[in-house]
Amino acid sequence: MAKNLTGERFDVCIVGCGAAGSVLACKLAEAGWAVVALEAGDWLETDKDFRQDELSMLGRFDWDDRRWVAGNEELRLGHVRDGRGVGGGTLHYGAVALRFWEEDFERFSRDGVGRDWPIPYAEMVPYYDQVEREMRLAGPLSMPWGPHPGKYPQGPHEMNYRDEKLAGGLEKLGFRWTPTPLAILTGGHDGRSPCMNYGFCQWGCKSDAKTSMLVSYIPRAVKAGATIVPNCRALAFEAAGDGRITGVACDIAGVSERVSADVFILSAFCIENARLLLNSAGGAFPNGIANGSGMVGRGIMAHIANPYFARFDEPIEMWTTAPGTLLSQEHYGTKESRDFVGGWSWMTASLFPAEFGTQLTRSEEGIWGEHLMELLRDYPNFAVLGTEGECLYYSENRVELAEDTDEFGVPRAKVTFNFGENERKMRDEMGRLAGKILEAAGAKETFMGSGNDHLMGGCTMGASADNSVVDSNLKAYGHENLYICDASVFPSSGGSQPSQTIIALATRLAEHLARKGGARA
Amino acid sequence: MTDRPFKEGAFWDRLEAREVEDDLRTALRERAARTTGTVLRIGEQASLVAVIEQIFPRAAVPAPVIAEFIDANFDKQMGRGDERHGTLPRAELLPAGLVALDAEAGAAFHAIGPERQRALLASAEAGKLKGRDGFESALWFARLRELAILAYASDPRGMQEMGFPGPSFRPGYLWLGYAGPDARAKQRPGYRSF
Repeated sequence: MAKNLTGERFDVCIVGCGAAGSVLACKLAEAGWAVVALEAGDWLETDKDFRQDELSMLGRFDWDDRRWVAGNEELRLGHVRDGRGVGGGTLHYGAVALRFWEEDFERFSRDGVGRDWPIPYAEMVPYYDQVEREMRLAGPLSMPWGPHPGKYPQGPHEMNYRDEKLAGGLEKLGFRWTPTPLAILTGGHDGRSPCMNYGFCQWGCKSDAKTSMLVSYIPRAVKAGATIVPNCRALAFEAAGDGRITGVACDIAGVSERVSADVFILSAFCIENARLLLNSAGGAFPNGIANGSGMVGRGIMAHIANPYFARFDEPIEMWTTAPGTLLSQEHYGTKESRDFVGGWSWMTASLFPAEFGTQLTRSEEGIWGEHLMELLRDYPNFAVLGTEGECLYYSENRVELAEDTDEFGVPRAKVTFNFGENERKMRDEMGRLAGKILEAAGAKETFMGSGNDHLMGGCTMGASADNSVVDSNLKAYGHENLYICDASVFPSSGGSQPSQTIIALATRLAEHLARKGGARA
Repeated sequence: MTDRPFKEGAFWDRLEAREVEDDLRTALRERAARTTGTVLRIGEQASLVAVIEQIFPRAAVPAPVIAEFIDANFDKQMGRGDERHGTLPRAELLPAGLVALDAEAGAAFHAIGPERQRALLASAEAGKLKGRDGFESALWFARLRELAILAYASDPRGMQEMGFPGPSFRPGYLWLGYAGPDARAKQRPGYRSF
């Protein structure tokens, strides 16, 4: 439903209703602010709109507009990469809920490469704590590694046979494992069902057990009076000569609108954040908004996400739980014994038939014809072990505006992305160890895929306006009333899923703004 | 012949039992009912069908059905936003590949022998098939195969050939009966849904 916003004035306008924007809309509305949140995609209903079928859901909440990619790593964009819809990427995320480690905030100080965060891990702890409680995370009583201090609010998810097999492989090599902390309920909460083990988490959770923003923070935001505007494409910011953002031009179902607010928060994820800021060039800001340093769009990172396929001589049926129910962080973080910096998490994965075929055939040449058919017919006998490996910050990995434009007349994004020597060495070591784990688990054949996941960076947070886009409070340099909050502000990528850190950052920013005041109430 | 022939009645009965939504059941029935297809836009039907028969030999889903799916969707985003800079966009890439195959074969692809067809496709997969400016044959092969897999694996006949029981709404997967620890314990070797 189109909403006429021109002429209204809000305390805060949030662009993007994903992991960060939804939390901010909720928290600020609950603090009494007049909130409007603009979302480019639909406002779906889990029961009415979600189908447990890959083809039915393809593109339903994926940001699959054409974007040009270049570089040595095939950057996959769209499904299970960037979301579009109220809830954003949490509509498709696997809900793995891990904190970054202390060393992730100090990568440059510790290892002399990449960047530090301008805030230490200790400052994030109360927000991680708050998020874990609010989202009723389901996890183990204690974690064998990392900083998590205590038990999770709900018990861990049940393991399936895939997990048993892969855990056996890890154990034989002396690697510890644990049920993964997940933002998926194992007990009921707030009228939502516990997990039914449908397995379709990344195609839209039908039972509402998965704590996507759509079923958690967004209903709270609405209850507190926030205005959520779906199918609203933000096109460009307007700024006064002193840097204050005065409005955002947008398109709602073909109608041009202009939204005014005292404060603006950009939470449209890594590529669209940069694209919107760069497309707002003009007047006193010829290089784009928040781009005095020339850093907007720079420092894009993506995890090394390799699917390792294990073929067993018995049925595994990997799809019978949430995808990432088993975790090992035995190789997380920098180790002196290795010739690269950073590390990774191991995690189980589930691939439904089409995604399984697509990923498997990418693992090596020659998977077609009789060979392909033979592998497809053995689908139930496969298990997949995945990785989330740290990618260092490289300023050359960047988002720029391309020469061609989309249907709104906005230049398309061009993303240049290369893995460096550090990532290549890490990927080699991952592959070597994965082969051993799968062999120890009893696999009769393995296929070693390669890939990437989880975009981060592009609006990097830093202590200096010379080389950063936002400060430690996520305020854009040069613009008193513009904040940026989502994974785009990460100065380092860590070696695990970013969602908890995004949500913790949003919780922290909401508290900062609420404390600062400004609400009409 | 396949290892798991499509059990027409049983598959639908199970979907009924699982209370899968009417529109999805209808969509699945429609997918499984197709035995032939028409190619209108991407290139010559016989050549595309020949390519698919090489990639998916003796698959439970007929090659013309997969060909029609590819023809209907080759220029759509289908959940993927990335396109390699400096190469043909997907709307031009897939038709260009069929033209390149014919050009390299010196005849219509479907008219040459199966050995030659396989050699040409192997060459395409290895990135060696020449085409117009901006054409990358490895990319073409990967995208075509990706679409073909999507067509195959979203068809109940393909699902069953792969040993996948289909959508699992409401009581849980078929072999679980009703979701719960006891039922889940059946997820062990030897307990099969088909």
